[in-house]
Amino acid sequence: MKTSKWKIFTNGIFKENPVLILLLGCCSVLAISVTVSGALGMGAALTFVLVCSNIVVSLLRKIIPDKVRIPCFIVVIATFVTLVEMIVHAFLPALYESLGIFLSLIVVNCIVLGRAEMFASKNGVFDSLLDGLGMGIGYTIVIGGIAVIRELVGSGTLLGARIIPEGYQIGIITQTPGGFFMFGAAIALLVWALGKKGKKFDPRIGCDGCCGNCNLGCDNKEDNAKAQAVIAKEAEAK
Amino acid sequence: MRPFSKLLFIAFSMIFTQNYVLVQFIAICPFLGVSQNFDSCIGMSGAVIFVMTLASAVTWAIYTYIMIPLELTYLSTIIFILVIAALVQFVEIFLKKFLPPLYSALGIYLPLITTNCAVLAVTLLNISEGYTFVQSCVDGFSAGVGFGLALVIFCGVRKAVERAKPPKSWQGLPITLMAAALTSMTFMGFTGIADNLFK
Amino acid sequence: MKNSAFNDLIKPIIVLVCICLVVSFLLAYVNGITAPIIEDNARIKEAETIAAVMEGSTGFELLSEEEMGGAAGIGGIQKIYRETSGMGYVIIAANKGYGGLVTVTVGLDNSGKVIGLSADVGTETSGVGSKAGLPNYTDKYLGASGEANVDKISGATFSSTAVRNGVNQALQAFNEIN
Repeated sequence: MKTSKWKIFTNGIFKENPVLILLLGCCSVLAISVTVSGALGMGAALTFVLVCSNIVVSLLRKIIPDKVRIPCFIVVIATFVTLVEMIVHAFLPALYESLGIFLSLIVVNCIVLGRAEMFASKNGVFDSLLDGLGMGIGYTIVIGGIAVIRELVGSGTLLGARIIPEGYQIGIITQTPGGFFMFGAAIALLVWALGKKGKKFDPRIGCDGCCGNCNLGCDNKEDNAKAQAVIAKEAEAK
Repeated sequence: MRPFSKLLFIAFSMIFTQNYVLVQFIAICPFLGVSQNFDSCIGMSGAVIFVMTLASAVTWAIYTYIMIPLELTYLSTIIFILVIAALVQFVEIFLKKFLPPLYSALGIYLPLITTNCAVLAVTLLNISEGYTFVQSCVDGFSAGVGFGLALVIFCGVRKAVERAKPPKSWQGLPITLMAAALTSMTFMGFTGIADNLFK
Repeated sequence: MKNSAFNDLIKPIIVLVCICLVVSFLLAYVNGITAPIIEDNARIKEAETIAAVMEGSTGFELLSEEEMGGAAGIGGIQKIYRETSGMGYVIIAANKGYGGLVTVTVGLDNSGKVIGLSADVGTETSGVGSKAGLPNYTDKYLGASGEANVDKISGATFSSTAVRNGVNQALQAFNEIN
């Protein structure tokens, strides 16, 4: 029993890491990983929203009719996002400024809706809590890791303290191209590490991950299947 | 700045210098997911432009005429996402019934748009920028065009990248992201043009 | 049959409405707590900034729309404060930078010379655009009057242009009110 709870918790950190394996919520990872403090703040905010929404969705899973499932989830998630927004704005104004629009965009972060739909709506409260916590920590580790490198190389600082002397940093790493580059490098590293262990990298863009090209389309299996078929056909034709 | 040149400035900066995907990191998921083939790029962009313009107009009206008088501005995130979700559903039903050709072209992409962060982002940014109604609509439209442009350009880049043979661990997604980095670098070249063009 | 209509139509609506109601009350309550704090923070920060750009100032009063006159119509100008002992004015202007608004607080003496400048670049890219807010850039504006012609920072064009525009708007506004 204990091991299965542990498995739920670590699932989000390693096996189904939301960012590197499920490839969800990449926008904020790319945009916010410029400074370590911002990245940790974003990680904390997302974890809070994820845990709370998972708990509430799991509590309400028997009450919510299947038809209005998605709108209900969105309302619940948006509530917690607004809560976080208000609290961060009031007590951590500097963080609020550095996160900017991406704090509000947690609402449409596929990780949160994805977990509500895939896990919390089917499992008990405690399991959902663990799942949310694991996913949140998995997200924070990745965004934090990328941020350490980007801040160190790009601005020459770490948590605001200067490590590399002024004039030796590579500014472009903190800009948009650097974001794509570092994310690509992180995935390449993961593929390489998995390859060493003899495992295969198996990203799940698509409906299993409930994001990428299908986002909310998951509840609309028919349309989604159509979209997938079109894409598959195109790929074959090529 | 005169009103018309202000509109041009908004359009230019949303398409090039402030491009959502390649400069501001908004809507990366559909960008990576859909850019595999040209037709779905066009379909997706069309749907996004359509919904974004409409959402900008509707949320601006709701914000100005309902939320400000009732002092509900702190609920903007939650109300906007619900409005967008409802709007997407409505557009889908409307197109299905009255404009079947358009529906068959855009239909499959519509359900994917609700959680496209670009739509929520554009509505929230319209408000925080304090745009007027017309400016909001132009902003929404050109942000959509910018998204489409990024998608179409990147679709071409991706085709070329697929022919390359990178080291094994870089195959697939990592090299695609690398190509995205280079594509976004080209968009950095537009920085500064907007300033001097619209003085 | 009747029952299934209830389940299909009425129940979802009731549940959704209930959730929305609960949520609205919760958020309204939290907003009631945080909104004053957010306002206070903004006020304290502004008070600190305007005091910092005018050394030796004793107090400030905000100019009304009428007193601002033509200055209110200059794009970017947010607020104008008059130093109560007659040292000069502090003008706040906000312009779009790279990531968001760059707010510039300019202290001007009575001859219209820049004596203090603070640029809030919190929304700009750290390490790049944020350079436009550092003293070794903003200090270049000190002593300027009429129109400031300080070079942009290469690589941080957007952010430094926003700072320069803000200063020039403030100088323009000063001419309007005097």
